[in-house]
Amino acid sequence: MKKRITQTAKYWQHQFEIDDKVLQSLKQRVRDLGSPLSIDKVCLFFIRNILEKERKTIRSELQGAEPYRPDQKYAVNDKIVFPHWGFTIGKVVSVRPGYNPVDKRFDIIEVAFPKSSDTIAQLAANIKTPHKLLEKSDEDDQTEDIISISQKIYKRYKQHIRPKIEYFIKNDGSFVSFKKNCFLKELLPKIQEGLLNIVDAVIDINGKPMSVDDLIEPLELYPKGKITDASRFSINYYLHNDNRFENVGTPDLVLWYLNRLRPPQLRAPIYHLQVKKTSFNVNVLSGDLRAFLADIDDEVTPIEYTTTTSDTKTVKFTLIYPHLHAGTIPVLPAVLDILPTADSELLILNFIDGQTGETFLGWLIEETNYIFGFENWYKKYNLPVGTLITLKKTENPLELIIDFNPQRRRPEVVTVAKINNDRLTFQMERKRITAKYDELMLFSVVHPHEVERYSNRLEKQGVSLSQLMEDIFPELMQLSPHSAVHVKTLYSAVNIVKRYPPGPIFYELVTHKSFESLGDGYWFYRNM
Amino acid sequence: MRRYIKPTLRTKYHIDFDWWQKKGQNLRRYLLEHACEECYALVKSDTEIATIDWIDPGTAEVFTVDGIWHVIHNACREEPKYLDPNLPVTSLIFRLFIVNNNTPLTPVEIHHQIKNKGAELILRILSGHRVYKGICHVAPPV
Repeated sequence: MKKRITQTAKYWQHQFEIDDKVLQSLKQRVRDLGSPLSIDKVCLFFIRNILEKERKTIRSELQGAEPYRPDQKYAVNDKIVFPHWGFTIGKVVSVRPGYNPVDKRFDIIEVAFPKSSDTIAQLAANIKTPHKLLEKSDEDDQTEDIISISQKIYKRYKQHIRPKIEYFIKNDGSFVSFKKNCFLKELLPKIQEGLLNIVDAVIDINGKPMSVDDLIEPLELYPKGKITDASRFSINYYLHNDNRFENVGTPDLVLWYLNRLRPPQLRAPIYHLQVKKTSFNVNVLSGDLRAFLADIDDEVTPIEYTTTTSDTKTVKFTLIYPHLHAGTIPVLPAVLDILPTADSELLILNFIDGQTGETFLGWLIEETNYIFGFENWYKKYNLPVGTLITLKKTENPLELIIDFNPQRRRPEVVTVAKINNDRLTFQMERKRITAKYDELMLFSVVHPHEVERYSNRLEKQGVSLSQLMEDIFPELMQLSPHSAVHVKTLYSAVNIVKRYPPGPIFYELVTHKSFESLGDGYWFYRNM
Repeated sequence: MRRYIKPTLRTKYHIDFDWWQKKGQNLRRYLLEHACEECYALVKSDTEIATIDWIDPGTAEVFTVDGIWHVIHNACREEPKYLDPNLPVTSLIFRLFIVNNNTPLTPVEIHHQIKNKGAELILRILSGHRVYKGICHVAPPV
């Protein structure tokens, strides 16, 4: 069955053009509405106009012809249109009786098709039995609502239609667009520079991202006491085109923030969180090492070696030194699951302190795997390396609760990491620990600046992971009566001076001749 | 002349009764080959069986067809072995169209009904230069 031209991909891909008349009527529609239109609505507007035009053409070509129905009676000279033959028009040239044992008596009409060299077809008419052509067809029903047909066409050919409209809107001087909406430039209210300075000051004073509605209020841009879509669009449009402001919200919620309020730590990826060596041959790892690889939730470990948490509302992880030192939390695959989609390269989240209910901001830059903003929170509770931290989702996608499990402040024996004689050393001390922790990964780092200097020196000297492990392992062995070191302890200790995911550390353990497995994740070092 | 289209697995085929007329071939004799024993005896003895005005189930075009078509369509299609998979594939497809009253089918739909032949093979047979027993792709007359 031949389709109408507007119901083919070929039309929307190659033939569809934006008609100036339709464009003028679109502009008039926007003027009448006085508010912006979504790009989807603009696309539907164009489709509807094209369909209406096509219907008009068909109607004028039909010149009073009726659509063919096999159950209708026809007379000589009747004009008939055949929707199933591409709306071809024919004229009845003769009528005679017909018969077959199923349909019994009916009429046979001979129809001539002038546009096809007077081809003649014989067709059934006045039949009393059911026929396929009497069933309702979606695509060729002239009476079907043009709006629903437009929607069906848009759904089917959106990938061809939308880019063309977007390109056109972008290049036509009359329209301005912001995100998925467009508006007529002439309808934008004039906003003075001074008003944008007020917006700047409002965000600065509040110190947090603000929604457009919150910004309109101080600007008093709401005629008749109501915030309109036009005023929302205008403010968004002006702020989007002013370098001072940036949208740090989600695709569904625009939130404006000031570029200059970005913490300086966001200007470049945080050095101590950079991982140079991530590749390792997983096949050489034994079963228990693979289990620990999955158990240690490290954001750099390839996702195929990790275990994903089933609870999509809460994420638990153990704090390692690089994040404690940088004031960050890792964006583990499970953390990513509870984060909203960002609308730009920066997403600002609101964190609620689970202990006090106080709030603070966290910054997530695209393509980094950490969220910055926890330095004060870690200091406030004096959290050690190894603390078990919980992140909880709230009803607001931009708000998360960060928490730990507090414990009574009684002194405990803790491994303290210090730099002594240009070496990372460990000793047992009694200290008060405020939070529940993973005892295999617990460390207290007393002089972070000395550790940083030592770490920088190692970097300059180009000390390899293997050398680093040979230095650290004997120090850790002294803490255990059996001289055994657990892989999680080794991972946590190595990360005090250099950021390494567990995979390469485990690989060194297996391939280095001096390391020997004692089972259950414990290892021994034999100085050869 | 039929408008050329490149047939695909989605192209509909049927028996084109016009083809039989244009080629001057004897449809009645060929239809008799596809009659079961009972129908064959009945039709052979009744030389009065007239032509019928057969209505195409898809387009409502009317073709004057030998009345044997109707007899076979009604009686033989009930025969359990009428669509015998051991028949030559063209005969089997022809019989399939008798059974479904010449409702157009694609090679894939034909394959679903005569399972021992693949849709690709059916397409190759039906789309070749030679037209087998008037089985052609459905083309509008205009």
